[in-house]
Amino acid sequence: MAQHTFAHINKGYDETITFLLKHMLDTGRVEAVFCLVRGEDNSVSYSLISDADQLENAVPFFPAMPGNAGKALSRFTMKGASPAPVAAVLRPCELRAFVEIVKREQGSRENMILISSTCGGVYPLRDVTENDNEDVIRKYNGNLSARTTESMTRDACRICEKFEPVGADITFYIAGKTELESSCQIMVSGENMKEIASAAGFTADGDGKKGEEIEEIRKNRHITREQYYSTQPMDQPGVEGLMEILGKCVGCRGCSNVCPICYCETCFFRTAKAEHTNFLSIKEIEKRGAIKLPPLLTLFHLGRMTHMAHSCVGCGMCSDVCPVRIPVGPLFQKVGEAADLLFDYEPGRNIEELPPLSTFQIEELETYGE
Amino acid sequence: MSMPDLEQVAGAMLPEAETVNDSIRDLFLKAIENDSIDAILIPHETPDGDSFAYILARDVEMIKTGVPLPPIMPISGGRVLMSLCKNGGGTLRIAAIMRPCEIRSAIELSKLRQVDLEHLLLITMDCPGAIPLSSWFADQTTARERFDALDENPDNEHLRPICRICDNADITNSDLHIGTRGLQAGSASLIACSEQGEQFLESMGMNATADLKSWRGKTRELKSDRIEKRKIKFAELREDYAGINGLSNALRGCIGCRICRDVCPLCICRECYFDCLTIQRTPEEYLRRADEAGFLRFPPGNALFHIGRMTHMSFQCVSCGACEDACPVGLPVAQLFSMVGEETSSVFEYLPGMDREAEIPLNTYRENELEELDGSREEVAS
Repeated sequence: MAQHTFAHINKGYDETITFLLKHMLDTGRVEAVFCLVRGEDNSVSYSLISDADQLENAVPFFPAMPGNAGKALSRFTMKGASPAPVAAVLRPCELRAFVEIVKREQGSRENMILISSTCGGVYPLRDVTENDNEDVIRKYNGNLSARTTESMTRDACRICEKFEPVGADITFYIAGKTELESSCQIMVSGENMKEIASAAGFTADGDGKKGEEIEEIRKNRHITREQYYSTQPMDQPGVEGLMEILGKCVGCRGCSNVCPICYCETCFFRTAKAEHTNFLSIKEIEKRGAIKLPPLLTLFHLGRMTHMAHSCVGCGMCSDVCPVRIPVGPLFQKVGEAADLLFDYEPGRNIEELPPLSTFQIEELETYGE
Repeated sequence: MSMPDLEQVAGAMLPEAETVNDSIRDLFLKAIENDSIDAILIPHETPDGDSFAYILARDVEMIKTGVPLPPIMPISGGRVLMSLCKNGGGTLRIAAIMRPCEIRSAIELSKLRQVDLEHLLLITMDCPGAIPLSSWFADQTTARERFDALDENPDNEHLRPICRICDNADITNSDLHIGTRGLQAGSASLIACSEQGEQFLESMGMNATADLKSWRGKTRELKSDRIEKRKIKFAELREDYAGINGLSNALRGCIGCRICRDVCPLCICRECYFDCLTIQRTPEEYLRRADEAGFLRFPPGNALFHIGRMTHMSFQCVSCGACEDACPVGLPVAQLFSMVGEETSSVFEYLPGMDREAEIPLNTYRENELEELDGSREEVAS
């Protein structure tokens, strides 16, 4: 277990992270940094930055998720480990996603310095692009300090209890903190990171520890989570409940396209096997009354669920891009959570821990087979 | 079959009903009873009452609750037909009611051998346009009110941007068209646009004797007005997004979700190049590219994806707007593709989705064709 050290800095978190990234680039400790960058048009995207001057537009903790960063890092390290150290700033759910991805050999953790934060959630993509970046940040900082879930962040975020990162090299404690513009607490893990932090001028606190805000936020999120699920037919939906939730699916596959865990190059549901060959007769259609088209869309979701829900990190990208606003994220999370309980598995908790489907034994869970 | 002529087509009045949707439902029920068709492909409210999906129905109750013209277009009917009869039409005689742009995509798909039109009776209606999905899901009551008000004000700012500049919101190349413009509220005329359409009218015992004068007038009026609006809009777009830098700016917000492609009725490749491992590079290469420019956007290649897609399908783009409506970051993709597509297809005098016999330009292109365009390029270069 890596040793954790805390440090207090008398600057805002935004300034501190940019300073740290710049310092690491300038001193050659990293070859590049990976973080959110804003464009002129209020769009926000990830960039791999090697020129420190480009950090001018960096907004590492901007409350938007234009894609799961874990998936982006998978793209970066799919063909092998980074040849030189790269610092990446990502949210706790993105970090969990990257961990799950690495387990599946779709990326490499090696040479990556992962920087994360306690997370106040992100706004829906559609809201972010319609508003001015500065306004968004101001509003967000106010919400961060409030510790409540009364914000306009995405449902997936308001019900997220895993907003404290696990396995990050450097963690910024920002959710629930006050004076966000003038002070900042960070936690560094391991000797190497401690050395980087002190080189950057961050001095360790003698008796540093996490603040009491973590538990308070967790409690609030838990209540919101219970409330959210009590209004959704997700507990034991049965076929009818699933039809109600998934019945409006248009089959765009956006949820699977943006899912960090859905990594199959060719999805079964895009192959000829999943295509409908005309079986319809008057008799058949009379028996059914009506058939929704395109067919097999509920099966698509069930198939995807079987494959990846146990590793669902709750990042909410799927719901965020869904053109017909199906709450895919919370549904998958709910199902995944139930499956994970059986196996005492937690997605993203430990990079050494293999996913249940990789370790499942034939004699296991016999009570369910009866 | 060539294109139907606005001046030549004849129509039969549908029996009066409270709304046009009612008279269309009545027509379908009668057609099933009459054994003129076996099943109806029609939009229907989804189980959560929140959206609409196509159903193939024969059941009276399901047809009665169908919504021939819903306020939104969550999916293009072209894709729906592809899922139904990509691998052959089967034996069921199916009547499909869709917006004109959806039918145009079905016709393009038939040329790409992705939809078998045999046994299909394609029915369109005068289309008032659709409400953006984002407004719909934000507030359905307001969205419904806005949609219902479209009859009085066809140039409504609440329509999807692509619908506001649609100059093909009426008769296209379906078998039957339901004309409502310029007619009394609740009245509709069933216009036969093909032999199949005429046969249907005949089998239903309907006579094409309706007076279409006022419908023709309104249709012409809207068309010329929209052609004008389209020109103005495209001029604006060109101003904002011309050239590679302009285009990159337009697409900068793209997050690479590929939903535009996956809802596009013309993007039919089972495996897209941009999903292949071919585009995968080593971390060394990504770092090199980042070094070169100081930074590298991640995931890289989003602008290239759109340009690739544009090259493949924009000349067949039927301007249905599904891409833009579904885009999670609200990029004006439909308008851009429609503009570029129109320019390309006009070079070949090709009108996507209109003439069923006209061949797709890429299928008939000759090496020695378009030399004048090559020439102009050389002139520019010199």
